[in-house]
Amino acid sequence: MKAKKVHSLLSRVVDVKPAETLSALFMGLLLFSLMTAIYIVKAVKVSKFLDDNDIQNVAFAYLLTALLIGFFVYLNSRLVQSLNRYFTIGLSLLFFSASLLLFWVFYDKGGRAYSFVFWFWCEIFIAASITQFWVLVNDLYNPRQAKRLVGFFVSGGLLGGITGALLTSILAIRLETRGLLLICPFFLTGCAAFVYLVRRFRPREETTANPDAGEEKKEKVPYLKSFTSLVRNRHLVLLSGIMFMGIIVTTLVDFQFLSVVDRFKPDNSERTAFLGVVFLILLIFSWLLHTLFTARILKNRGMRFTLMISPVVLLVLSLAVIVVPFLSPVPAVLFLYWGVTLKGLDKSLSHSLNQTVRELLYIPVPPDVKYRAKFFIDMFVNKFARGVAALMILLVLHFSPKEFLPIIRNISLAVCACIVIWILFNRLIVIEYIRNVKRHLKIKWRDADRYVSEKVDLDMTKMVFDTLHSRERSSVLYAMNLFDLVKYDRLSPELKQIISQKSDEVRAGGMNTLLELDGDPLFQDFDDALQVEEMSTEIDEIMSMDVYQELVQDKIGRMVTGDREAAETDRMEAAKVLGMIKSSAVVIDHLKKLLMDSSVEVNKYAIESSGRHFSRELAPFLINHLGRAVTRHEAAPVLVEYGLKILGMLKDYLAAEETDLRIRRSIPNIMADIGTQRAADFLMIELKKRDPRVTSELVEGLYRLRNADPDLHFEEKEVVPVLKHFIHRSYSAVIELHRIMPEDNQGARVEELKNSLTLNLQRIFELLCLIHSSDDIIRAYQNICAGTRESIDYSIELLDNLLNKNLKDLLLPLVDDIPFDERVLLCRRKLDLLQKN
Amino acid sequence: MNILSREKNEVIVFDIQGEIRRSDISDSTLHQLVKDQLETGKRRILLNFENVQFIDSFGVGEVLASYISTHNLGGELKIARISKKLYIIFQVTMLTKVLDIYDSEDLAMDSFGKI
Repeated sequence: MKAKKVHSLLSRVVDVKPAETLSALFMGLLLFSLMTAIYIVKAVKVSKFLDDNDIQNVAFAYLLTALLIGFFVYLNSRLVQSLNRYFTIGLSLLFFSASLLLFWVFYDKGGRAYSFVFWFWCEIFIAASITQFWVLVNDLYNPRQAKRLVGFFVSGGLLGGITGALLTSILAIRLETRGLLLICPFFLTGCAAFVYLVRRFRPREETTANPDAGEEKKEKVPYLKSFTSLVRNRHLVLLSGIMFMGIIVTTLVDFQFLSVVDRFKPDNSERTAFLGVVFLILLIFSWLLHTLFTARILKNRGMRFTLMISPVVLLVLSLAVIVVPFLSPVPAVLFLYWGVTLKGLDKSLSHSLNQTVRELLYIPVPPDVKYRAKFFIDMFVNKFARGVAALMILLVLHFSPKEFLPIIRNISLAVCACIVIWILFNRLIVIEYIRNVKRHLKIKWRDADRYVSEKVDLDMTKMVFDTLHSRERSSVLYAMNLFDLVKYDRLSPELKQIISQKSDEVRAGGMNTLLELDGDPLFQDFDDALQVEEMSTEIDEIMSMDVYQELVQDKIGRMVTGDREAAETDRMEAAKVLGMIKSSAVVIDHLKKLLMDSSVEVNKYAIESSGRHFSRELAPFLINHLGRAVTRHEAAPVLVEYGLKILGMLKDYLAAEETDLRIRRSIPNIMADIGTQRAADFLMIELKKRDPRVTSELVEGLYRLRNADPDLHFEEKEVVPVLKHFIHRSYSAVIELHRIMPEDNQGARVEELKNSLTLNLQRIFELLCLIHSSDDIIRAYQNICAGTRESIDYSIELLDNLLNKNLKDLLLPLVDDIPFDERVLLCRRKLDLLQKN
Repeated sequence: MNILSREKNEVIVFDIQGEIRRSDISDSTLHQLVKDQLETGKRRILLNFENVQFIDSFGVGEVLASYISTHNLGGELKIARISKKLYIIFQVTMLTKVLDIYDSEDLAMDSFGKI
């Protein structure tokens, strides 16, 4: 009951599922407490350092950190690898807590050395504790869960930062800077308790790595291995690149901000006060930005857009300070506003959008690689970038005139150059991210059409069955079929054996005798059958003789007009032989009659023979056979063989409402098998008419076309209205289900609605294949249909990155992993919107 | 040809009697019957060939069309109790590379859902 209450409270501020409630709550509290402690420690660090050193020494402190941090990255990595992750994180928090007490004891006794040591300790503490937090997030949640919850955690962290800054500003005067060190252990001990609670209430279905892995396999990963894990993974290399460039830019921006503050706020105490105010406002602004916009921007605009916001904003501001002073004189105070805006936007975007997206980008990486590399990226790459930035600053200062404006301009030029590389990395990582998400989405079932055609030679198989079948009817038919098979030239020895077996042997003993390995040879007439092969050329020559053709046509003419009941076999033979002789008006005329014959066996041979003449005159007769279940499968491939020649005719049949519905429904697949853009265009024209009697078949045909030829082009503006039509139908089905289910849970209508939902969803995804990569959409669809909760989440993540906002908004209520009541609510809302539009 | 359907352990079993030939089709084809089941959400289909003596090219087309329709929806279609005669023809025409064929209905039933 308590958990339910917590869930109902928490779900008002974050989209959290019941199973995640307690873990999410404690993770939020963990980051809140951690950030409170960090912001107190940060203030103490800077304050103490500036007390003991000149401000220029900060650059050297960064440089020193960059040089030494590697060793501590290694140490931290070894600890997390070798021990239970929860235990290690809890223990390290207690260690940091205890060491703060030591710093409090020696606060006034260390001088400059103390300030450098404390600076360095702070860097280790901040980097290690933040990294460990995100490792826990990655272990506990899959991408979809993380996307919902990360915003909540980051908000908690920002609130913690604000609390820390507030506590510092309020208590620093009363307790003095040193006294603040005694507050931090309280929060850090709280953090350790939250880690324990997170472990206790973690969600049952952990989707990635097992956080207890350390207990089971005490694998020690060398530092070098962490580095090689990163280098071998393209995604992580790109992620490192983004972080590297982002931190260089941030450091350069920070330097510009400090230069501006130094110039316009020369008084030390005034400057400190100003910095304090900026710091607090910046955090509040970040928090507002994050709370109000981060999730919305991510959800509505996607990762690609979100990643670009920060670099583009900073690029514009940096270009402004290069260009504007050239154009007109600028009041000096504007530089202060510019510096504050630059710093404010950089930090707030970094704390909100960038942080959230960066953590999301970690998620598709394999867990083992991820947690090894994360330490390296967060701690080493981060510090190294600061070191590089510090060197860049030193270089710019060395080569610039010692004046304020040229220095600011030259640093801005360096910022612009770095931002261009940053944008490049951003573009590359989005592509890599989608590729990584797809790796988690296995194809659940293959395209059966393609699979069957790869494994089975369908024409030959049908010929074999027809040949065996014809042996019971007529020796002439049998010989002609056999002749066809030999000409086909794909006969294996086994096939030759089966086909050459005497008819009566088959009838009497069946194929069981084939299994009897002992005794006399079974196929006495095998050699005779093989002679057919040798006769093939002679038969061809005879059949091409004019005199033969005249005689045969005359004979067939009499057969066709004869007593049908008595001469079915004769007519079958006639139909067969018509496919073996030269095309002529008489032959075509005979075939027309045989295509209309009352016997389906005769029709079958007539259809087959029609496929050898490809006369347009025969096409309508073949099309008529699409209306008959018994001949449809024979007529369809023959019509496909006609190809473009009859595309227009097929289109006319499809469009004509008076055409037999069964024929109309068969045509889209034939057009799909013919292929070409023209066929696609014809099908789209029909689809736009929204005739409900053929819509499903049209969508299926278009999907087959697209699947066979990914280069075919479909206009999004033509596909989307049909998509909306199916989405609309699905919404209505969900709402009706909700209405009738409480009374009639198992009724026929419920089943009907559920099936309609399944079929509509299939059509929706088939349509999506027309305007997106089929492979991507098929993966997403199959994993939604048959996948686990994790694969559903990955599918939605993929769709999130592929579809535009409008489609995403419409589709997600149907496929997202949400409770039924919530789905109904969303469907109602979206249905209203659709109807209004 | 006569086709009766029954449901057993969430599998739709079609008991086919006679020869699957185009000349023996009356109302519905095998493929149509399978499609009807797929449209009601059933995804596991078993064709019981115990009483099928022979099939012609139409029958092969029906079986393969049923297989394709079922598998394209993520379902499974299997065949049980096929005669040795037919099995050998299926073998030499490579149909056994595609179709899952079992000696008994129970074995076929057990195989559903297993990869």
